[in-house]
Amino acid sequence: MTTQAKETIFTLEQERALAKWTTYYPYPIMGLLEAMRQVQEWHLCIRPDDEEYLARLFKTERNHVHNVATFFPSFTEKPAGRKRLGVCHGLSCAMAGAGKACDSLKERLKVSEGETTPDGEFSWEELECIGACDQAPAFQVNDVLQGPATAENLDAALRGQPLPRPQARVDLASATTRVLTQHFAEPKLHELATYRSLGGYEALAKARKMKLEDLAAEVKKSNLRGLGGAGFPTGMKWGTVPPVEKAPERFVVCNYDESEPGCFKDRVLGERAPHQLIEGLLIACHAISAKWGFIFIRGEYAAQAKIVQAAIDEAEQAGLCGDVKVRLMRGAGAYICGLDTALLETMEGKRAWPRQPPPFPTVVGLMGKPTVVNNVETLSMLPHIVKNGGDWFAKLGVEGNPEKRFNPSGGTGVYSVSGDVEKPGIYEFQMGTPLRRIIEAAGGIKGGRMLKCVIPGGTSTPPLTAAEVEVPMDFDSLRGVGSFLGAGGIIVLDETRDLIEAAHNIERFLTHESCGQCTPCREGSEWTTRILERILRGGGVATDMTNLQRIGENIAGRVICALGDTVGMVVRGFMKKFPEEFKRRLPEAKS
Amino acid sequence: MSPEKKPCKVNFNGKELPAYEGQLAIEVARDNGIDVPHYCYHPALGNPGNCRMCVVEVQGAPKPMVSCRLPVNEGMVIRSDSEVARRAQTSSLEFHLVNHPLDCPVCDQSGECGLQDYYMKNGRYESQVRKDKVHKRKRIQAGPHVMLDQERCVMCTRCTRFVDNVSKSHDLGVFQRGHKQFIDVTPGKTLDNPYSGNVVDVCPVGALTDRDFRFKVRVWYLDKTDSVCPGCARGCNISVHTNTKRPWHNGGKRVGRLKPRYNPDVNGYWMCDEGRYGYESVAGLDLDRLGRVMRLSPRQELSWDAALGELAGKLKARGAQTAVAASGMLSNEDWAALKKLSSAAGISRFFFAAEPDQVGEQDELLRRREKVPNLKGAEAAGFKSEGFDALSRDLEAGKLRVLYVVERDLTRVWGDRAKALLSKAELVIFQGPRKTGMADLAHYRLPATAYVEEDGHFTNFEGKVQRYFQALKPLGAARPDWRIFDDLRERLS
Amino acid sequence: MSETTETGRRRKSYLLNMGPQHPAMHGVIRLVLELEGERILKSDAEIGYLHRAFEKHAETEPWNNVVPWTDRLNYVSPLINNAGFCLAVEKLAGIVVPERGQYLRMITSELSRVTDHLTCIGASAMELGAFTVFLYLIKAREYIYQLVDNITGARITTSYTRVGGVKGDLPEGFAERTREVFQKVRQAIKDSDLLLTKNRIFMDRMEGTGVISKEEAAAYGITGPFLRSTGVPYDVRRAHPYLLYDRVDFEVPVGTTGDNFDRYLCRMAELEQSMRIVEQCFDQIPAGKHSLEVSEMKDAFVFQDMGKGGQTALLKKYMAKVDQTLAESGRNYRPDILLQNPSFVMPAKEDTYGNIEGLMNHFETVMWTWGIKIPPGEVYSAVEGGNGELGFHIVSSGDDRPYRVRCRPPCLNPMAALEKILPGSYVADIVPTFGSVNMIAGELDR
Repeated sequence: MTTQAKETIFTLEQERALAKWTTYYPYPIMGLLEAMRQVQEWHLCIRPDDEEYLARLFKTERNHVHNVATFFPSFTEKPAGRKRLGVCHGLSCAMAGAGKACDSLKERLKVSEGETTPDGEFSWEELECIGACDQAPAFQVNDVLQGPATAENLDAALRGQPLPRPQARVDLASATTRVLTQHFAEPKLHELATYRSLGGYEALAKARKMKLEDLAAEVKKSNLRGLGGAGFPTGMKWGTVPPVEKAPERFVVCNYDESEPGCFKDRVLGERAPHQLIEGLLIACHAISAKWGFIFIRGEYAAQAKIVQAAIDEAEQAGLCGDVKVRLMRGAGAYICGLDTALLETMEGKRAWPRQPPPFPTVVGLMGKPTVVNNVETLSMLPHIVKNGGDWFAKLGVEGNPEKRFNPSGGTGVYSVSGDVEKPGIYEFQMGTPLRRIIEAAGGIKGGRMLKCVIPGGTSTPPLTAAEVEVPMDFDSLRGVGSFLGAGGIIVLDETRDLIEAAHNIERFLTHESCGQCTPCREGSEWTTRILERILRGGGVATDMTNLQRIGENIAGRVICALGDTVGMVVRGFMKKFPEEFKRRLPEAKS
Repeated sequence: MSPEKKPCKVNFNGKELPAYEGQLAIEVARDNGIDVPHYCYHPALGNPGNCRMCVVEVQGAPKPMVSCRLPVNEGMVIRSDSEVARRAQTSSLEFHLVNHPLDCPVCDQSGECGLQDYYMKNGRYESQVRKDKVHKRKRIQAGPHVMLDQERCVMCTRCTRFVDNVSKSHDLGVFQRGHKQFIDVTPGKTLDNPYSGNVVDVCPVGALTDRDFRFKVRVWYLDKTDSVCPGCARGCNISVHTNTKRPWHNGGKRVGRLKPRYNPDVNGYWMCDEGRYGYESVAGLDLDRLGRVMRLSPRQELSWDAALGELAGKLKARGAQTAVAASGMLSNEDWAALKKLSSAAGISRFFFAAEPDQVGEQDELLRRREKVPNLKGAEAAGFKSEGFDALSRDLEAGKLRVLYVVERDLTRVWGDRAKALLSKAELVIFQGPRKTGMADLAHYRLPATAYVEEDGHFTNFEGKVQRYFQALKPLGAARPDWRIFDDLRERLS
Repeated sequence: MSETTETGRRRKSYLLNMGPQHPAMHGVIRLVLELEGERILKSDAEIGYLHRAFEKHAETEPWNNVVPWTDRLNYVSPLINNAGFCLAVEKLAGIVVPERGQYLRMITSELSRVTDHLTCIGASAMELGAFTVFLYLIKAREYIYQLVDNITGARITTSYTRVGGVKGDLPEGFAERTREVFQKVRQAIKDSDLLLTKNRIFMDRMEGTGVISKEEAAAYGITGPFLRSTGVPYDVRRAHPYLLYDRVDFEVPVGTTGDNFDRYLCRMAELEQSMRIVEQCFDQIPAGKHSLEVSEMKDAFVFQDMGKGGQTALLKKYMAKVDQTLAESGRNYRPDILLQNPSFVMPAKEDTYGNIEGLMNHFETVMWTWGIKIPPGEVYSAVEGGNGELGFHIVSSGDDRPYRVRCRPPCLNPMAALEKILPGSYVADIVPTFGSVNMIAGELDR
């Protein structure tokens, strides 16, 4: 092991910058991820010397640091280009022609995927969903979203010319009541002054005067459920946090690691209304007496992170944060970080291997302390609940029916609509709105074609047939048709789409994002993807459907986290709802 | 271990088993002789629950649960052998095998492989794989003693947990993500910590194998004998694996390998590399052995009778001028016999301290400074050792005329001076299993058995007396030390 | 012991040692005879000259490895021994061979019975001076041996059966060849019959000699042609049907007087019955899969290379072309003749070379600490050998090798009965009597 003189790795300034990360968060090791990101920016890769340095700086071991460096795709062992291009090939973007964009890049840059041009200027990669399905086929340069990968846009990128931040379409007319997007006509909503002029931060002041039990009761009454995918009642989650006397140190983490293909609502919510999010975060911190509030934002939302950080600075300067420290942390390219326990592991400076509750994060969470993890959209709802009351919020949504074991869903949902629709974008509707209405609001099927299949909540949710679009969009109704609300990422597929290609796209995504901890997901996802590839190549055999069914059954429910469950459910969902798609391509089963 | 362990009863596979509240289901099973298939769980390394093999059916639970993360409570009804449980276990096994390479013919783990055993016990299904297997690196020399094959790995992470938590050397790690994930040596390091051989023990498959043992002999040809490692004063419990029925394997060497045995009071599950690969115990056991009873001047091979007769004559009435140079290699039986011999012969000068050549590194885990197993046994038998300086002094001065050297290589103690010093003595008897540097410097050579060729007891540094059993037949005319002492004593009277 | 003759002269008996080296003491056997002139007063058979510790060896070998030892029991009808042993093991394990495999075992057992009887009759006839008959029947036996060689690869060291089935299937055109052979064999039997059955000398030597009564035969535990010649119609294939003998039609020839001549007639009749059984089997046997279309073949070493290199994507589509000596271990032959149960049987070669599960299965059933584990217990199972009830009493301790194998040799009982039969007859009668015992030393002494 060679130890080079410090001067050759980092300048003094760089060393100081890295050392800051050991104190930026409440525990030094939490700064490892950001420090590594910094090194990647400077060196365009993580070298062995860098790893040794980071291991010493954060008082950890080399194998731990190398583990983190190789787990997250943001970090490379060989230098990436100074301009690192990424073309999304998630489902919506693949449908919109991401493959052609990649071919064009390969031809123009004359390097393969993952490689850097000889002059070190450009490198390009195929990325999993970067949360820009409305800009399909989306691409980014150095984690900053550029827009659709049209010929002109690629030209500009290759000329080194950054494009203006793409503005998402936000529907302002179709719904009767909008909660989060009600002020989105205002272009300067992200500035503190504008936000306050529209009544911002009044709810926070009100919450701070309320008794904690009353605040908790309002949230419980509101029937607010987690809008990041799990749909767990927020009030109930908060209720499992142990009392402050038993565990004085606790945290609130905002899960801004939106990586579910088909979902981009958090991106838009955060960049358009960051103060709404911050206010909600501060209300949550107050509710459980946390002194630190974290916002973990995915690495691919670099532009959004800047906006949110600016808003945090504004709020701090204006004294709105009180005694709560609000800190941003950026992810490094792993979908699994969207899972709460994996997110906590990442924040602790480790690879994102989910934990196996019990104990749950609200009891033993970040660095062993009670931690509430809530989604961007969920937190953004809190100011409105505090301001208008929980009952008002609950009435906006869908009531429960205890006899039918039907649970209520309060308030509205912000849906990301993409795929074969005329107007991809953000659509906020009250809980219980039929899916068909949302698709119509998005302009219906592009080119007037027929609807074939809708994915209701992001690609982790089983697909629906065209006949099922009347289903009300709330958490429990969707279970009735064999799917779930997830994070509300609606992907529409028309009659021309090959559903096995779609299933393969999703399984490939899951295989890439599998964390590798437990065997059924790690091996089963890769196996499923290869079977689908073989079928697509024309090599399907009669036993494929039974095998896919069996593999799916053996994975779902036998794994550590929901990603594995998804691996086991997606293909079965497609096979159940669209069996002819499969049977068409497989030879007859011999008895 | 919590102070209050409330006992409870658990119904496991139809039997009422005693357990503690909160005890892991897999431990309840293990304590009662039920083997639930598992890879990642290890009593000393934790229960990450990532292999998903130990799934059991629990009454009232919606799906099978992993028993290594299932705390039991009173009245729980668990089945690991029901249809549901077996199918779940088999499905996990199937996933482990999807990308597993067809290495059985060239893999040393064959015969003690977790995948083979569980496939034959539970699996026995027909493969449905119609894809190429994921390729990773093979035949990596992870360290001086360990070979790594990434394709065979089932990612149970036992090895990384060992190097992080037990040996604390952090020389292995999990790198990359998902199906491309692999175990590798930490960049910038090699797997050369003093306990590296233990990762081979914990690895349930052939991903980590012994370089020393590589391709030498198949494990099903090995006979296993319980023994105690003579490498240091810890006295780790070991199992000696020997191959005597097929001398064309393993290059004719009789000992195949040493493996640790579990003893919670002495060594836990581990043993150190020095003991495991000890040249004299494994590779060199059959080399340079003393096989014949010899008198060197005039040079003649003698029978035991004749030799002991001659020696008895020479030792009579010379007790005061006799010194015994020995080492902590002698067993309790040897020390007892030596005591009786010394009383009968009037010998009172003993030199067996570990200094200067039988000391080495000591650490908090297992290794002890004294690299001999039984100095405590000498103490218990009432011996006291003088320093070797005193011996060399008295030899020079002519005060000591007879030197009885037992299992000690004085050339290692005195280096070049040994020859000169030994020539000062009138009679030098050398007794031991191997020739060492002493063979040509002695007047009589008495072949003794190595520890694997005799029964006996060692007392470790904490005073624990441990039995070791005979694993091999003695070579040539070799006899246990105690027997030589006893025979000699009989002839003195 | 002396007696006075009619003329008053003292008679003295003397001991004559017949064997173990004696042209008529085939196999190796020693008869110690107390003779008075030519009349036998007492006879004592000393056996064990060919004792090779079969039963003890069987305790040290894995289950399948015992099968070659069984070849060497009754070495003129080895396939019956193979079948007998494997049937006993399968009975203990509770498994049943696939149908085609059972038919194959029946066909080969009956061919073995034919060779056994041909040898017995031929050798007996030769010892009585009918050398021509010997040549006719041995030539007929040659044809049968060629058939057996065709199927199993060897004439008498066949090792044909395995636990769970048989080693190989019938070659192309086997049924036609067998029918042709049977024509020749029937001709040879007919010719021998013409030469012997009404032959004055033969009848004088054989009729009325070596007589045993029904009761005595039963008391000695005798079975087979020896017993049936006394009139008891006991044949294991009828009394306790095994394999598929209850599906074929055959007669059990039975004698009346229990003398050598009846035994000769029984055997001659059984020859025809065995050939009848074989012909019926050919009609009934289900078609093997190899008669169906064979998918693309790849050389076995290519299979191995691809499998070892992890290029397993296409291997399920191919068949492996294996060496002659491993014939019928491929996927399209195997399920007919060997039960596809991974606990007892090695997988088809495509699976051994092509996927890890098959490779592990192969490994575990072959290697020493695992092997084929027969559940603990004991069982007795019998088949009809050439000489009678060939029984195997097997004890398993659950291990991969037998705990104890006891073989009940059918010719032990008639040999024991000789001490009853021979006294009172002449030395010259020993030859036909002993010949009709058909003592095979391999079976007698094990």
